[in-house]
Amino acid sequence: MNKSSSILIVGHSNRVESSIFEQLSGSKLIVTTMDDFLDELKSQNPDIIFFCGPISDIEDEELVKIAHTQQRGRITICYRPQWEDGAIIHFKNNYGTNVFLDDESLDDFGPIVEKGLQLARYYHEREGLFKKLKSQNLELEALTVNLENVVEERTKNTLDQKQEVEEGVNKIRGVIRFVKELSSQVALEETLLLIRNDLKRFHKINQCILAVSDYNLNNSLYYYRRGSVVDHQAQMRWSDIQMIRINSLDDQKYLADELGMPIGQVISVSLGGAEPAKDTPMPVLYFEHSMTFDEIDEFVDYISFRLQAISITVDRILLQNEVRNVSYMWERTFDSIDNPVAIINRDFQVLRANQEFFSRSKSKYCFESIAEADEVCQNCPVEKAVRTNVHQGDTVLFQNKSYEVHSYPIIDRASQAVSAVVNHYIDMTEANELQGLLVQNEKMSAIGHLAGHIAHELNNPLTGIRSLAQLVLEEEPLSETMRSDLTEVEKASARCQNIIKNLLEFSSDKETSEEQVASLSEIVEKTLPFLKTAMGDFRRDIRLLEDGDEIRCEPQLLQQVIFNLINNACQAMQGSGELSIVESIEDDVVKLSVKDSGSGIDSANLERIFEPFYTTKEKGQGTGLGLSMCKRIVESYHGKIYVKSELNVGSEFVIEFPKVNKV
Amino acid sequence: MAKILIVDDEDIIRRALARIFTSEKHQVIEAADGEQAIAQWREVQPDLVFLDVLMPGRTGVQVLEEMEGNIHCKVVLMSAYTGEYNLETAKALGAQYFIPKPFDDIQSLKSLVEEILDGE
Repeated sequence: MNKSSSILIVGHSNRVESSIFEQLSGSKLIVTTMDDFLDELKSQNPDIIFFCGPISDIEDEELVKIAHTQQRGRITICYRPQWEDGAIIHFKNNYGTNVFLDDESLDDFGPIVEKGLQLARYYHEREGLFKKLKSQNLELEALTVNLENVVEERTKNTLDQKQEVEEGVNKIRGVIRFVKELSSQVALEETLLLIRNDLKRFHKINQCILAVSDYNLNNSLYYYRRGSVVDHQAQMRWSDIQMIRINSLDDQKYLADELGMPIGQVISVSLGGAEPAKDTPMPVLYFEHSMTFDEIDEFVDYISFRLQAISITVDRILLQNEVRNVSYMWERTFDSIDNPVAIINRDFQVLRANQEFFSRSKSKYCFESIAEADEVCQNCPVEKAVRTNVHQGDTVLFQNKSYEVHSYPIIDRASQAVSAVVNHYIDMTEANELQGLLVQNEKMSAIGHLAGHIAHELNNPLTGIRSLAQLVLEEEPLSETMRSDLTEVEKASARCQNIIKNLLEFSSDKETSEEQVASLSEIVEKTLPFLKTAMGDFRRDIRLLEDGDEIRCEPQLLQQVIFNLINNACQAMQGSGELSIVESIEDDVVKLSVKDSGSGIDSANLERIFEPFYTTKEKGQGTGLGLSMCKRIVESYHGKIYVKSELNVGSEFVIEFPKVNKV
Repeated sequence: MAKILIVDDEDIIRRALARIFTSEKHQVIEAADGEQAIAQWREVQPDLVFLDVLMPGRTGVQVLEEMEGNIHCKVVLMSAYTGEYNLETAKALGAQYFIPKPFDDIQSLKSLVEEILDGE
C-alpha cells in the first residue's frame, strides 16, 4: 500500500480484529458505540469502514446506511458469515458495500481489501481531480466574471469618451456655425442679435450690450429693446477692460447711467483685439445676468470660444462701415460737382466718373460716354497730360457745346509714370455765348457812341442846309429851275436827317432798351437803309404789310436780327440773284420771310446752323450776332426762327411772332 | 420889332435863323459860342434868345447858369439830342421854350416867335 489508509473498525470481533491488524497497514480505530461511530466518522473520514459486528442494538444495515449517506469511507467491508446471497446483493446495490467477508475469507481478505483500497484511492484521486477541476472551474468562472467587468467598464468608458468627444464636436460645430454666421454680418445690430441668439441656452442672461467706437469717434452702445436693436450714443466713455471682468459695480453703474434703466450684475468682455487708438475706447461686450458662479464659469468658457470671432467681426464691420462711409462720401462729393468729372486710364477707358459724366450715356471709353463719339475728341488734352506729367487744359467741342477740358495726371508713386488722368469738363457754351453777347453789346455801344457824335455833327449843318433851302424857296422872284433844284436839296437833306435818326436808334448806346409793342414792318423799314450797300444790285421783292403787324419785342434787338438775316442772304448770293423780303400774317402769327437765290446750305450744315460757334465763314469774317444769337433773341419774344434751304437754289429764313392786337 | 440873339456854333444855322427873323423886320444879333453869347446878352439886352445847348467852350446850359437872375428876356433852348432835354428841363433851367433840332420846317419858327413876343 502506497498510502497509509485510515480504517474505522465498527463493532467488535476478536478473530476479525487480529486478522485485520495483521493484514492491513494504516491507522486503525475501533468504535463500539453509536456516538463514537458518528464522531469518528465525522472527524476521521476513514478510507475503509469495516463493519465487524453490531454495536449496541443498532442493525448493521442502519450503520451502513449512515456511512453511505454521509459518504464516509470509500470501502465498506462487512463481516457477515451467515448472510445469504440476497442480502449481499441488497447491500451492494443500495449501499455500495464492496466487500463481504465470511470466516473462510478472513485469512485472505488482504488482497481483496487492497483491491478495494485501490479502488478507493482511484475514487479518491478522481474526487481530488474533480475537486481541482471544480476549483479551477470556479477560478475560471471568477476570471470570466472579472473579464466581463473589465469589458463592461471599458465599454462604459468608451461610451463616456464617445459622449465626451461628441459633446466636444458639437461644441466646435456650434462655434463654427456661429463664426460662419458672424462672417456674413454687415451690421453691428445684426451681429448683436446673432450673439444674443447664440447665448439663448444661458437663460439667466438678460441683456447683451455692445459698446463700440467707430472711426468718426462716435461711442455707441447697441442693445436690444422692444424687439429691435437700439443704437445709443454714449455720453461718457466706458472704461477699457483687460480680457474679462465679472460683476464689476463700475460697469453696472456706467450702463445704468448711460441707458437710463436699472442694470443687474454685469460680465464685461473686452473685444479689443488690435491695438486701439488712444482717443477711442476699446470695444466691449456687456452681459447683464443673474447667474451663479458655476454658471458664470460655464458661460465664460462658452463665450471665450467665440470671443476672437466676435472681436474680428466687430472690427471688420467697423472698418467696412468706414470704408463704405468714405467711399459714399467720395461718391457724393464727386456727384455733387455738376460738371462732368471722370478718372480715365491712358487708353481713354473710364475708371470712375460722377453722375454728370454719365448723364448722356454710359460706355467703356470717355469719348463714347460724354461726347457720344467713336474716337478721341479733337483737342483732347489727355495725351498731352500723359506725355508731360502735368495738368493740361484745352477747349474741346462736342455735343454742340464748347467745353474747357482739364486733364490732371495721376502719377503712380512706384513707377513715376502717369497711371490715370482726372478729366474735368467745364461747359463754356453759355459763358462763351454771354461773352459773345457782351462783346457784341460793347461793339454796338461803341458804334452807337460814334454814331451819336457823327449824327450830331451832321445834324447841325443839315438843319442849316434844309432850313436855308426852305427859306430861299419862299423868296420871290425865283426861277422854276432854281425852285426845283432847291426842292431837291431840301428833300435830300430831309432824307439825310431821317437816316441819321434811324442810325441813332439802331445803334443807341442806351444800356437797355425796353420790350414794347412795335410794327414789324416799321422795324424792317428802319433797317433796310443800312443794307443798301449789301443789297447792291440784287433784284428785290420787298412786300411789307401796312398795318396790323404789331408784335411785342425790343425793336433795336430785332433790328439786329433782321439786319443779320438780310445781310446773310446777300452774302449767300455772289454777284447776282433775287432777294425777297415778305411779311405776312397767318392765324395771329406775324411772319417775315427772307429768301435768297444763293448757294444754299447742305443738309449736314443745316442741322447745326443755329448752334453757337457754328460757322462756315472764315475766321474774322463772321459779323453781327450769328444765327444762334438771332435764335436766342427771337425765342425770347416767344417767336420762332427756322430755315429751308436747297443747295444751289437758295435759302429761306423765316421768323414768326405772335401778333399783338392793338387796344 | 424886337432884338433877337441867336447863339449857335454852326454858321449855317445862325445864317438860316438870322435870315428868317430879319425878313420879319427883327433886329438879329449873333453869337458863335458861350462867351460871346454872355457878352452880347449883357450889352444888347435882347428880347428873345435862341440858345443852342451843345457848343464848344461854354454850353448853353452853362450860359443860362451864368446869366441866372439877369436873363430879363424869353429864352428858346435848342438841342439836337432829343431825349436829353425837353420843355420841362428847359423850363427848369430858366428857358421858356424848347425846340428840338433838326427843325422840320423853319417857317413854323416865324409864328412861334410872334407868339412868344406877343405873350410879353
